[in-house]
Amino acid sequence: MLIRLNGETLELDAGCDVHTLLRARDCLHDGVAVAVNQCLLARVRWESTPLSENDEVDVFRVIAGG
Amino acid sequence: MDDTLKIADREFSSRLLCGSGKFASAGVMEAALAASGSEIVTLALRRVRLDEPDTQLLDPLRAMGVQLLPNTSGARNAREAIYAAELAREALGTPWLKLEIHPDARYLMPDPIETCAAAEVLCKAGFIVLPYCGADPVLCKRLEEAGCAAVMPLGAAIGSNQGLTTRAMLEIIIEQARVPVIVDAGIGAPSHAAAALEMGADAVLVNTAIAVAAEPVAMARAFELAVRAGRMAHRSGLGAVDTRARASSPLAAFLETLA
Repeated sequence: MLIRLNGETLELDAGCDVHTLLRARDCLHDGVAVAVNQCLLARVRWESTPLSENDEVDVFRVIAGG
Repeated sequence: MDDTLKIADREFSSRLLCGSGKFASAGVMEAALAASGSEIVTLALRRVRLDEPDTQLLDPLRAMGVQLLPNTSGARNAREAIYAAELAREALGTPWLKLEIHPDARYLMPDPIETCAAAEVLCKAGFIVLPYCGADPVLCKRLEEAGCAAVMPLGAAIGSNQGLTTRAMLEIIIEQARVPVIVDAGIGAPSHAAAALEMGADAVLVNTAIAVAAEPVAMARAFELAVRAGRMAHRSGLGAVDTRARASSPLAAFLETLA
């Protein structure tokens, strides 16, 4: 299936969950938040949330700022 | 002398909040923040390129034990700010939030209508909201009534280093406020910070002036001293301003002896 991750199109195995995707992209550390189709997905739900065709996943990261 | 800064349910001994932006490196940031004595540090949140390395920003801040204050910079309206707030709370595990909505990239002036609308929603949702706002006394009261834990009126445009260009309005805000007043934005020199505290501001937030200094660590220390001096002066009772001279030394019983 095809999804979009931070605007980039990716092909994933059907049923891939958010946690597996983030682990593969080294995004499981502190200071990360994830939205799927513009809805916040709490960290505790990453493992239990399978992705679907055309899902838009956005990964946000804490950066320096004033 | 018990003189802590109380915001929501927390007390702080430092009245200098610092931003983490614009430092040359994470190492310089960490050293400068340590020198500043700051106990509240702002951060931002972005959708970043995943192939870029993580900046390793959080580990030193967590180790320092400071209160993390994520901002909603980049939000152009209340809807975007609320979305950013939810992401920030999830990313950092804190309900503390610097609410900032500035749709205009040239002057980065905060949008009062959208800021008030977002503040009402976020306060009800359990966030500890510190809104960046114009130095408007009526707006600051409205934000206070919405449940904000503090107000953060601007001294001048973000990053401009112009100092307290809104001084007369800040005086009214400070007089009326029942929540802490943190002067944010535009503070370019330790003397500006000291002046804000002398006026009775509860704290200041400084980022650019420290981060872009030739010696950020020394400048952070200078701000720390200035904030403490300003606060001490405020509590000590400043003398009245007068248009006429009032002698500090006796004028009589000296020169008369020459006659």
